[in-house]
Amino acid sequence: MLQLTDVSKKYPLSTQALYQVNLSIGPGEVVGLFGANGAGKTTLLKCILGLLPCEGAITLDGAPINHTNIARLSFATCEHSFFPNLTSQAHRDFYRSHFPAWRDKRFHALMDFFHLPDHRPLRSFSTGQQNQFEVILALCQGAEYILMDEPFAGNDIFNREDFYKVLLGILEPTETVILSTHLLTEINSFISRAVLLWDGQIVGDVSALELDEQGLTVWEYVKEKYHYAPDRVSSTLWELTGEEDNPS
Amino acid sequence: MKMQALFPMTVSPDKVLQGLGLGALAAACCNLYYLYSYTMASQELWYHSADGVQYLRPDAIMPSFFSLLGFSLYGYVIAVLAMIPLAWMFWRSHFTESKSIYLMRRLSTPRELPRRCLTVPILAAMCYLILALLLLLLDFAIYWRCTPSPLLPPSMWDAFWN
Repeated sequence: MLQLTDVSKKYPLSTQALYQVNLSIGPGEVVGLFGANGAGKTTLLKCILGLLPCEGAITLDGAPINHTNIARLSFATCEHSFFPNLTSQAHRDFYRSHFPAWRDKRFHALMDFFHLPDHRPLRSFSTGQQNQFEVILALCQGAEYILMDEPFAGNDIFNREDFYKVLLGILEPTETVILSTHLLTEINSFISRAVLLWDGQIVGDVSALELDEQGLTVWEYVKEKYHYAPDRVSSTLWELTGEEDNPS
Repeated sequence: MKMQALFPMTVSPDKVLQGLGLGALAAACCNLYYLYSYTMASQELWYHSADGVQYLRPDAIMPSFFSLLGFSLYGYVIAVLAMIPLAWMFWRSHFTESKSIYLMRRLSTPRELPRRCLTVPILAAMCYLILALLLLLLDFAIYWRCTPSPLLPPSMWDAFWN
């Protein structure tokens, strides 16, 4: 169980990025972490991984996250955390030597699925291929908690769709995914829970089952929680051009 | 791959070793200044008589070893100091083109990142210091063996320090 208790983070000379976030994520969940730009999604993931210092407590099965249990977490980020000068095979060797639970069979299967080259440095990959490889590393590290921060930024829709399907197909019941993304409509059917951040605070936390019961999609839920005004576009256009119908 | 274990994964050991070798060579070239100043000082000690025979000047004074050494070993000082920015560059390389720093900081061996960033600069600095010491001894050997003995202090120790 990944437990966050009163987690707060303030960047120097900046606003509060996270404010008293409380969250529990159990094994086997596929959690969608949503929020507008600057809501605190990336900061939250980095705080969990210990990449950013923060206030509050973050524990994994009751123990603080440090070098003794950090291998139970993996991370795929749109910033990419691989070594651009190395080939995918060199990455495999590096991961195998540092992560004892490395999943070699899964690695080869995913490399074949995405037709990624084995012996070319990562910097020669396209952005889409780099994203795929980043996620493959996170999935194959052997971690129980797989954190992903906008992992598919730059991938086309077919590619993303394939990936979600493969992801759901290969995940074991104990593997947990925390996926931060803007692509709400795409992952609607893939997540088991949606967590919504707004200005560094959790403003929504709902399971897919609850959404089904309420007859809502994730996008509708997010709009509701964000107090989204559906007429804001037409209203602005009317003010600017006078060409749209006055919504009022 | 074994050599790579001492370096950050983000840098090529061959290129770094090449650079370190060139640094050692450039530092050694600075030492040519000593040979030049020693040769100049030696020539000042002698004069040629009308019949072409070379004689030691009666008022000849051999400059001290350290005054001849001058800045000839400064190349190594610079090379050693350059290991500080090298370590910094190794660390910064984890931010170039990607954020591999995230991966390095997630390893269960927390010393892996400092080990990879510091080992080579420290070893290289030690090698440079040893090379500088060897050249210093070689320079002194030249001074001690090639300077006319009447112009040398009574003990080798005095000659070295004076």
